[in-house]
Amino acid sequence: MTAVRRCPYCAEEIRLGDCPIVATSFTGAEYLSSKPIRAAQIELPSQTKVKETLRKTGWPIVAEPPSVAADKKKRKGWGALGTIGGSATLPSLFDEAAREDLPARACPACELPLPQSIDERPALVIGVIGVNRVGKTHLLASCLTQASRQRGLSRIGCRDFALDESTAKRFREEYYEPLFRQGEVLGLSQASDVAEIRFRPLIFNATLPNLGPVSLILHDVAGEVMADPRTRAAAAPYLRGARGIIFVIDPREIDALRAGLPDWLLHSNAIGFDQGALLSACLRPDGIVDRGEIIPVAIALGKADLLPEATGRQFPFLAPAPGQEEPAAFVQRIKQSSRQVAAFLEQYSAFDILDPASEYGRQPGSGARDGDGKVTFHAFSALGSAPDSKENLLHEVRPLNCIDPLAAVLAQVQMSAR
Amino acid sequence: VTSSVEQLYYTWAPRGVEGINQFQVAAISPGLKAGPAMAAMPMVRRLCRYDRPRGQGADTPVSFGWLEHEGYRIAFRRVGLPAEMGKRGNFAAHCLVALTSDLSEAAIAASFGAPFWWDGIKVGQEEEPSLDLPAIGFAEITVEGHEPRAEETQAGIALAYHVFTKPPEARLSIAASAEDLGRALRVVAWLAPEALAGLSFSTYEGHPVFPFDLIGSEAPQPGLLSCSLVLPDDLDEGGLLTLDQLAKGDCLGRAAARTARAEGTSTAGAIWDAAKRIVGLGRGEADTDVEDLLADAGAIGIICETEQGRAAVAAAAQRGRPGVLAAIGAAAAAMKGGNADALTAAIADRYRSSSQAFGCAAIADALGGSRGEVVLEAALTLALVEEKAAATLSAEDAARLLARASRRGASVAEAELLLRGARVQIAACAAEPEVPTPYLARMFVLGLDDPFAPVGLVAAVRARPGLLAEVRLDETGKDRCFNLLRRLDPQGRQDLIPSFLYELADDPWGRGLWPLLSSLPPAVAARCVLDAPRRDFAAAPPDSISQICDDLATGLLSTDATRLALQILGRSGSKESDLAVRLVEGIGQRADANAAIAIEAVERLGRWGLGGAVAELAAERAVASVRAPTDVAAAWRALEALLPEAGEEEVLHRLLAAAVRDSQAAGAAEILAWIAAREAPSGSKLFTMRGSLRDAESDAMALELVARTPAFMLEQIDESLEPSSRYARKWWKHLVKAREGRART
Repeated sequence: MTAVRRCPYCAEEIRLGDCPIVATSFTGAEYLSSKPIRAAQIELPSQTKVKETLRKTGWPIVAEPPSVAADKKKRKGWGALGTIGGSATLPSLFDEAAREDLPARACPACELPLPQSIDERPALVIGVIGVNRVGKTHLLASCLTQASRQRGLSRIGCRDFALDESTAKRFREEYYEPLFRQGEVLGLSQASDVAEIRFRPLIFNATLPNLGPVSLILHDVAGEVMADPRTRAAAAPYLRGARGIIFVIDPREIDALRAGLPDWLLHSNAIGFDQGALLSACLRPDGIVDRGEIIPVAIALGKADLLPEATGRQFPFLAPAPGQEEPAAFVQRIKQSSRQVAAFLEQYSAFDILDPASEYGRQPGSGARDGDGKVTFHAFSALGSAPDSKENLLHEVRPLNCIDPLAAVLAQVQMSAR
Repeated sequence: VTSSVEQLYYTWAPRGVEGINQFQVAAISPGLKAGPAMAAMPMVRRLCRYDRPRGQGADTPVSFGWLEHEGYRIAFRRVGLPAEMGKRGNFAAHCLVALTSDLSEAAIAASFGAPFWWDGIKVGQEEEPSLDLPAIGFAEITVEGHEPRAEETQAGIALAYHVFTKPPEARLSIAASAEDLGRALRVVAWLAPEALAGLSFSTYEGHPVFPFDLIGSEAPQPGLLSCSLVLPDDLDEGGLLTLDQLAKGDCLGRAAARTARAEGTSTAGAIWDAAKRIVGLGRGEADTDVEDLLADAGAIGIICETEQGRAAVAAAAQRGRPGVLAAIGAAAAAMKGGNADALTAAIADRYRSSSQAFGCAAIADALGGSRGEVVLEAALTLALVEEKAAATLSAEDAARLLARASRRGASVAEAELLLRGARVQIAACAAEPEVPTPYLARMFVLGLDDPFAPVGLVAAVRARPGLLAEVRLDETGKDRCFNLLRRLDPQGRQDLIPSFLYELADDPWGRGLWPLLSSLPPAVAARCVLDAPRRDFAAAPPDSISQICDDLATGLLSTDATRLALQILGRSGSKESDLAVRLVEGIGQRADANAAIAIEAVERLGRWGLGGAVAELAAERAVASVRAPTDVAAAWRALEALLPEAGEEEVLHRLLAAAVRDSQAAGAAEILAWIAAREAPSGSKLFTMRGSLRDAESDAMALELVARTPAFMLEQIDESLEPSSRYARKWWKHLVKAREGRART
């Protein structure tokens, strides 16, 4: 009853016993954000009559919060019921509501239905941040495909990495299928409805050595939303609960590299926001993700396949990581490549990235020690090569080191848990 | 309040309202930035998305439609843009926002494919697009409908069918490409725009965000009813014919919508039902609420395309509900000549073949002109030969047909059946100047037999005062007329009695006239008599009339209506009336001078004798005007003269009674004194030995009078009184004592 979790949507700390239980399966559920339904009009599969809906979001309440119900029982003299060894236990969702209604606990703060797995697994939110057009969606597609299909995170001791049921269909249709089966560049992420952004994360279940079973939660949010402080504040409060950050940067925004890049690439895929400013906004003490503790941040340089063309040089951090590697080797490799990427950024004067990162790394508790610590630098290429001006891939999709940022962040999260 | 259409472009734009190189509002009109229409912006923003179909390559169906939000209708067209220059997944959305009352669903539907819809920023477009859009006028987005091509019609009709028959709460997924669906939608907007009212629509939705009532979808959608742009195989014949009619584009949809609205509902289902019923009526199907269908001119126009339909309209026209007739008139005016003539013929046939002539005037008015004449002629022909048909005529019908019969030159005899049937409508006919009086006179006589006619007859007489002059009554007629007068209310009697007073003066009716007249106020009754036209001034009035005049005059004299009394007495032939005339003249002329003079007049005339009522009158007059005992003597003599058969005691009784009745009589003391001092031959016989009047009632009345008399007056009289006898003295003292005793108590 006293299990405490952090809401993956609003980052508020909540007690599961305080969460009302709502039904998530009924006609019109998908339109709740655009067309609320009155309680009396909601028809649940179980035929349960809905008496009340949540005030802000309209989800139909099928059972009151377990803590409230327990209080009532206690007042009626049933105090002994539902307790084990004198302490109250959290009743299962399906004890409280009909299974066919797909019941879920709703966050008392933001009133959104929480993932069903939250009873067993705390949510571990990793924020993926970057301005628009840097390749966040492609990174997620490649990284999570590698993690789920190729045991990509076994290098940090992660077991049982699997798509949550709520995400499986969407991940397949919107990420995996187009990119890896159809060989298509993924479309622009739309700056769509605020409620939907928060409520449609990608959820994966995994077991990490020091954390045990967790629900890994990643939100794929359009850069327009992320980079604009007004929309970000409304749409991405979950960032305040993030346990780690992957910040994706675009080499085309590094001025010293632009001269070497083809014109069409520079002009066609322009970025609308300043990525250095966004990183600074993230990492400063009272920034986007500040929650009173230093969390791991992976700064990932995307579209790394462009670097040789832009510079006329090859870089060691562009060597593909081995398919499988031991955790110690992984840590070693990451440390090494992080230093190389940081050096690369310095060489090409990407101080708008390096400075906020350095500042963050110098904070007490960052674990900064001879240049490595909570901030790591990575270079990846989600596609392996740039598409042509018509957005057609000229080569097969061959993701390069896409798993590294996530693996590095998770490794540090679990190390700090130890 | 916006009176124009606000608009917004949304796409990935290198420079837009919200910044550079991002998905953003590319251009916006002022009203959406800072006007009332801003209320719709949250929903407009939500609409600014486009989700491509999964796994269909470059295929990007148009998402075109509309929805309603916060009193605004938001129309949208969203298209996926080709993948190029790093913008795979780019799209362009163009939204229009206007008040729902200003921008109809059909207007939006008709604009599918119209050139004003925005296609996005062209690749390589050199000119930098403006960030400001103008609000546009409705005229600019109004697309003139045009008759759809045959191949489009089929799909449009199928779509209309599915929309019409969609259960009210259900949502529909239409298996069709967005392009086909949009074209079909345009056809629906042309043929049956009302079907779209109240619906939200989208030709394609890649991701369910809004619960559109209808969406285009290549695959069935969970929770939505599925259909396609073809008609179901099991569609019934009525439905097929209705759709055929819709496809003709002759406004069946509009007519059905108006009908449904008039019946209290505007749902697409109700419109479809109405359309089917309209078509069904044209096919001769029975309909329980046919009047509802025929309240719309458009519906009538459609129904009248078939013979069965025209027959149904003709039958309804004859029933004559005003709304239906107005609609028939409007429909006939709008119909092609052939159809209007055919409808007229159907109505005329209806009159020829049925036994009812009801409603012809209203229909004639509704049709107007020569078509109305045709209908009236048919109705007249029927009514002239069939009394039963004539009996169904309304007041307006009867007046019009009688006027028409008169113009045709029909004599009273030739029009007998019509007059007989229409007799209850005599009042309306009398008000119509074209209906000749002989017709009305005949109707009046016929109406006397009708238990429901009295009011109409009276009204007719009022409308046409000369009417009764032409009425000739036989014995039976007089009987009926007398019965009629008895049934009438006072006002009716007042109107009719003058005309029939002399006609009914003979017995047995003459005896009954007085009760009829006496039910009226005397003055009114007198007017009736005075207004009655005398047919032969030389002949003496019938006895019954004289009697009525005398009785009326008596009543009038009692109310001081002397002038009227004189007039009415002038109509009497009785001797008593002559005397009364002179009496009243005497009283009337000199009453203000001296009562005694008046009383003398009474005395002089008394020897001829007047009725008891006149005597009473004289006594009252005398009592009212007594100032001295001599006046009393005159009155006594007058009363004796008027009542030759009466003894002294009766005269005394009348005198005292008159004095008691008139509480204002000033001469009570004089009367009593005169009685005590009277030197009449039989004076002493009035008193008993005990000193009271022999007639106990008279004695009591004397006591009552003395009680009214002021004490000082009694004292004055007492001093000078010389009683006629000791019995009289004793009586007087008794009176004075009684007065004193009464005063003490």
